[in-house]
Amino acid sequence: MAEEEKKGLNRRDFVKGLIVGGAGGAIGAMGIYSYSPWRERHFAKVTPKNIDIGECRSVKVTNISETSWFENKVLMGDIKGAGGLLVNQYTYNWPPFAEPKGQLGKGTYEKGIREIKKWLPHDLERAWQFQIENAVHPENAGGFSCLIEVELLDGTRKKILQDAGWSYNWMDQSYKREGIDRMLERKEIDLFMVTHEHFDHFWGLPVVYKYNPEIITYIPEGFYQEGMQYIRDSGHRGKLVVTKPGLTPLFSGCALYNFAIPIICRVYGEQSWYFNVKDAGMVSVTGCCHQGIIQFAATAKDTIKYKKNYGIYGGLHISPFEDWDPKYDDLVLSMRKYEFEKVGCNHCTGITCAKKFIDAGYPIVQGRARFRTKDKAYLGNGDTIEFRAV
Amino acid sequence: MSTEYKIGIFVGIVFGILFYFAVVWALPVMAKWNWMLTKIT
Repeated sequence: MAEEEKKGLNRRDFVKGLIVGGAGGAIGAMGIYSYSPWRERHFAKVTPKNIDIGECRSVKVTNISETSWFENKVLMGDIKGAGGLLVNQYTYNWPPFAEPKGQLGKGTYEKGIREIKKWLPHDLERAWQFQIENAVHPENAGGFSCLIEVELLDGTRKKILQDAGWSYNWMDQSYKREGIDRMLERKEIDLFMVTHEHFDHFWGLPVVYKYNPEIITYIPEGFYQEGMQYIRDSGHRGKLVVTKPGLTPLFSGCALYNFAIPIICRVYGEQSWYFNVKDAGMVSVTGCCHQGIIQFAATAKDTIKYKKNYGIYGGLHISPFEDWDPKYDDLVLSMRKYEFEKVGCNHCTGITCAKKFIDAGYPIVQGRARFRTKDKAYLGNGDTIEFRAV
Repeated sequence: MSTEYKIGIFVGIVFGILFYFAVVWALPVMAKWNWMLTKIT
């Protein structure tokens, strides 16, 4: 050391500098690499399939009911009391599967359906009266359902009923309010599609079959034994189509997509719609969007041939219980990337989220807050939205 | 700040960058070796 110092060299200082420089260099390289195009070599290569589903002229959605339940606090209290979000939904003793004097979390499908099967699907008033007397919080049940009207390029129209809601009473009132009961009776509705097996989209099933038990019904693969049995017990006598994961084109400009995903309350699989509207772009319609809005939009891009995104409708599943987490802000920001020109949201999107969309300047179509919808920030019960080239 | 310290930082940055990219290059290669080992054993 003394020799080095004599020569004017200081090894200790050099090593200190080496350590500091080495750490700085490595961290700096990480930063540069993370923001460089080189990082993409680690991503899986996705080649767009560009499947041609054709085109349609327009899509109109009538929101029959988006109020799946009326009080978040009651719903969450029941779910927590029954054991949490992963518990089998048929055990809640919620309507319509209540056993006599049903207790929260102690029920089964078999015990519940035994009480009401004799009344399905034609005497739903008595079936629901039994629920009022025995179920856990029957007054909180509402339901999600909408009517989709598609105009094809040759001018013909297709009518699709999406989802059946939950409460027999509420859904019957809602169908009568929008004239769905008569459309079903006259067989004007071409097909009935259930997005997923959740109570608020599926358990109102007998109300649909009361008016047309022969309607062709589409469900995604993944329904549990109870769900499959409920379709039979509800009086369905028509064709049942179980869609496989992936794309199922139905008619010109219209395709179903089954997302094979696990969902809370022991449900598996959800399907949504893609409509390719001529001169406008892709319109995506969903029930609850458990696949997530990013996967929903990205799947269209990776799978279907179309020019641009145009619109989206449905529950977007961001803050369904009106709880806000800072990570949801990332979802709000990420929506911009997909450049939707018309957004109709409601249900599990959450009012808080809809207000954030409006604040962020997205083209949200607002509603009129009628028929128990709580806010005008999104499309409420009885509101409509139309997607067509202007 | 001595001249040796400054030289140390400069050399350290160069080696730090080289070290990082060596790791980035080596990890997928190592993963491939690991895959080959699982095939052999």
